Amino acid sequence: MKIRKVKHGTAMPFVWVLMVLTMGQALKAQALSKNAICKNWKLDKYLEEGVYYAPKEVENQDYLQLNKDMTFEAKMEGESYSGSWMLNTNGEYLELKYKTKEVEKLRIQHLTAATLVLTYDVEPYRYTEAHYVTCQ
Amino acid sequence: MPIILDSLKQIVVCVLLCAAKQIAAQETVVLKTVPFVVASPNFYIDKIIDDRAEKFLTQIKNEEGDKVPMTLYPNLSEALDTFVTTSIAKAEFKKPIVVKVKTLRIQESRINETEVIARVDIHLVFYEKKGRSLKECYQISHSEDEVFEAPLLLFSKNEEVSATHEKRIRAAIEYCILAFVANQNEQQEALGHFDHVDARGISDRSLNKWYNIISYRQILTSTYHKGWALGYTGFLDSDRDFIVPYELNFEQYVVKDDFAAEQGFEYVDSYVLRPGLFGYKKIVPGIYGAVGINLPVGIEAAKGLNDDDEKYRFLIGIGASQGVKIISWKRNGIVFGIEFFQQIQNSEIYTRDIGLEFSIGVNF
Repeated sequence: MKIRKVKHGTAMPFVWVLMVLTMGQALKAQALSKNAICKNWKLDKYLEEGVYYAPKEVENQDYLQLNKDMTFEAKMEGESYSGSWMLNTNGEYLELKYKTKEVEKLRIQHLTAATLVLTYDVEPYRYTEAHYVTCQ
Repeated sequence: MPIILDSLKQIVVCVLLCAAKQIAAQETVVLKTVPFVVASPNFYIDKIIDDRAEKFLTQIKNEEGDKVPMTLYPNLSEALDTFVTTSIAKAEFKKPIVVKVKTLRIQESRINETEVIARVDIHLVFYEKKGRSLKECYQISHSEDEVFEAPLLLFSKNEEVSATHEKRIRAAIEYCILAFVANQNEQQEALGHFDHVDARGISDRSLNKWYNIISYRQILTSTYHKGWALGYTGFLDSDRDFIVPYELNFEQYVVKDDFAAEQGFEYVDSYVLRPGLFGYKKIVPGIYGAVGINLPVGIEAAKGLNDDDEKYRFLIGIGASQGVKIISWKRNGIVFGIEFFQQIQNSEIYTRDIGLEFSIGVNF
């Protein structure tokens, strides 16, 4: 049997790029659903101006737990918080409403089955990415 | 008959040309149809009515520099209907809801020297159909805000701002629909989440304007010195709050010749930067009271009448100013100002000075 060699023309890189882009879109599209985000997310690291750094000692146990009944529990800088949440799919953000009636917008930068990258839409954290991970 | 046909053809061509020109004289936004999850809605959106006073999202400058309206494609009612129906299917067994769009507009403004804000304002009123009449059952006003980096020093325009208006429109509609669904379903947790929404009008949601002013300042009178300054002032307007402007000035002052000669100098010049805290307070629209304290820092170059060389001295001091700024036109125009100033500094020949300064500039 004669094996026919496939000639990799100029189109191949474009096909690969297209596949990678499509996979990326699929990941994000899957991620932006209530089911995909309803998890216990543990704070892993921060990214600021291209540099990763670990959370402060007081933030070691920080987490964000989004429940299916649209309530949340969180620990931020060691303090416990709770309230309600909503997902805006088109705006690609979460809105947390604390028991104190304060409302905070968290922009979803990236989401996979195991990682959630958020930026808190408030000064001075607007340009710092908070990377969360989950084992669920 | 051929003459009538020719005339008809000409009329049709004219109408088509006029329509084409009208379409070309506006920018359209095509809404993407990204579905969002609505938990088992017991209603569907039967009709969306464009009830806005101004039938455009915003006005933008086209490539020719003309201001043209930005609208949704093909029109607001159809665009929103297509978008919403993707997430809430129409079904006869569900309750038909009519939505009136009272406001849907785009705003953009600088908020400080490093950031700009983009906003979509929306005001929707939901009606239930009762026979031939409509009964209002919910209304919501909401703003979708997003802040972007755009350093003022470079006068850079962040292209992402205008490129993402469409996304914020979708987000604003989704937010209102989710709030309405929570209200309809009476889910306690969900309802609680949206109980802070604003059901009032949105007249107070206009973003404050950022002023850019380039001005030339001239000392009208002072005890010891004369001079001029060229500067940039940027500030976010506010009717109520104390305004802290962003200022950058270059100043060139010289001691008056007769006073310098009296003190035994041929000349005494100073080159000064003046960091400080400045504040404006709007008195009436277009007129601002201005106060400031500043730290003049620079170099003083002095040459004695009998000296061959210049002597240099590090100059530092403290200054204060009180005055009025008149910004006659909100968009582009001429700006006037007049200020009293007082200054103490470690000059070679004088330590205290007071004076009056006039400024003229342009805002854009």
